Amino acid sequence: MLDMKRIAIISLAFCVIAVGPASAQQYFDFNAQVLVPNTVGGNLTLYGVINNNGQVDTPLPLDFANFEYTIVVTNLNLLATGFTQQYAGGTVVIYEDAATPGDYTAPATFSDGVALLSGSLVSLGRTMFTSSMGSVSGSVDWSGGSRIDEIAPADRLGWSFLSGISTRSTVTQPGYDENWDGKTEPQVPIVPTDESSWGEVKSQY
Amino acid sequence: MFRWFTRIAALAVVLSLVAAPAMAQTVLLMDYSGFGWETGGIPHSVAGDVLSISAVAVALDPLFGVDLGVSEVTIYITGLVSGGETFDPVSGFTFIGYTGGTIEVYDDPSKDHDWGVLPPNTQLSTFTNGALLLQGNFTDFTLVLNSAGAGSYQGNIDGVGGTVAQLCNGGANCAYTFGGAFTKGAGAQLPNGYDLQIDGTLEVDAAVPTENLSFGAIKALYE
Repeated sequence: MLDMKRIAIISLAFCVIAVGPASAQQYFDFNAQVLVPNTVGGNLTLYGVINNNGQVDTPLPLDFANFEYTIVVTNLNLLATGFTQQYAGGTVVIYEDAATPGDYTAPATFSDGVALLSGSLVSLGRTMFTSSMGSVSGSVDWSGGSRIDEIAPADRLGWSFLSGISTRSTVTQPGYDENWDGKTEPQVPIVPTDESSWGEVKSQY
Repeated sequence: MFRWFTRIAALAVVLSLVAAPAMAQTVLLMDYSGFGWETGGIPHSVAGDVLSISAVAVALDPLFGVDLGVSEVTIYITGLVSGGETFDPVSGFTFIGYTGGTIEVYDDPSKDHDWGVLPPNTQLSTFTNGALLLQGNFTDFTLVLNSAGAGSYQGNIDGVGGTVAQLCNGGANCAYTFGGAFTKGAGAQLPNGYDLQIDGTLEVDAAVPTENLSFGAIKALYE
């Protein structure tokens, strides 16, 4: 019969199993084209490619050799103007697709495939420092998608959404207002859970 | 008749292309991300402080000649000397101008980049090993931050060395870089000791060779 001390130790073990070594840097790095609204009440739209390409760890394991990963933001509503524009209410989705490469002349090519993660841009501030250079700082809550269960509920909230902005023609595609080169990252590294049988857990003790 | 007219028109266009210089100007893009640190820390850049950045490329133009499946491309920017910060009370923006500064870009098959903590550290060498792709001197560099710690930077570069610098047209104003820069206050995750998270693009103005075709080869395209 297990005594209380053992039960307490095993309970602690379950907690420990859910964490493990994690890479210090983990984020979805994106390069995107953006349409910016002209007036309060308008919506901002973003189409981009996730391009970690194995060089920096992603919060979820991705297969860049066989799939393209895209990010799409829609209905991000401009609430207020000023030196920093305030936005909220947008939907953000990361897609996995092996069929059609993202083509900025055909925005639907960014939103096909499997939606791996979907959520909302709870808030976002867009600041232009000069006519050609600015930055973005926002917050994402993930709530859906085919791989949402790989992220613990507490870790789905409050991801940073950070990006530089350029309007230079060298990086801004025709028909778009801005190039956003940025990332979205969790507050803490996401680690895979390690399923163990009851026997495996007991054997450790 | 129309067919012959079309052929003659097409040949005229092609001949005009053949007559063009054998080099064409293009912009090679490299997307990178990394972290920066300044002696004395940021925010509150003090004149004389030195800014450095170590980064890794996540995507780049094939004309750089590097397969990211085989090698990593790392970037080391250092020697940017702060002229001190200027605060604009109207906008709440802080402008920091820098002088000096160099950039080195490496093609490294060891794929060992590691930011570590508390830079400059022993891991810094993982950003400066490999074959030199580009070496340049900054002609200007400006960093701007808003009151929340979200900012951006830009700088122009003279290419002075490396295989990619050879593609630059004379080296002067060979490259330009811009990016977002974010402090912990803006929500950026930073390894201990780093002041800025950066996510940027390097643009290299390059003259790349065009393909020369014989007149016979051109005619063959239309037969």
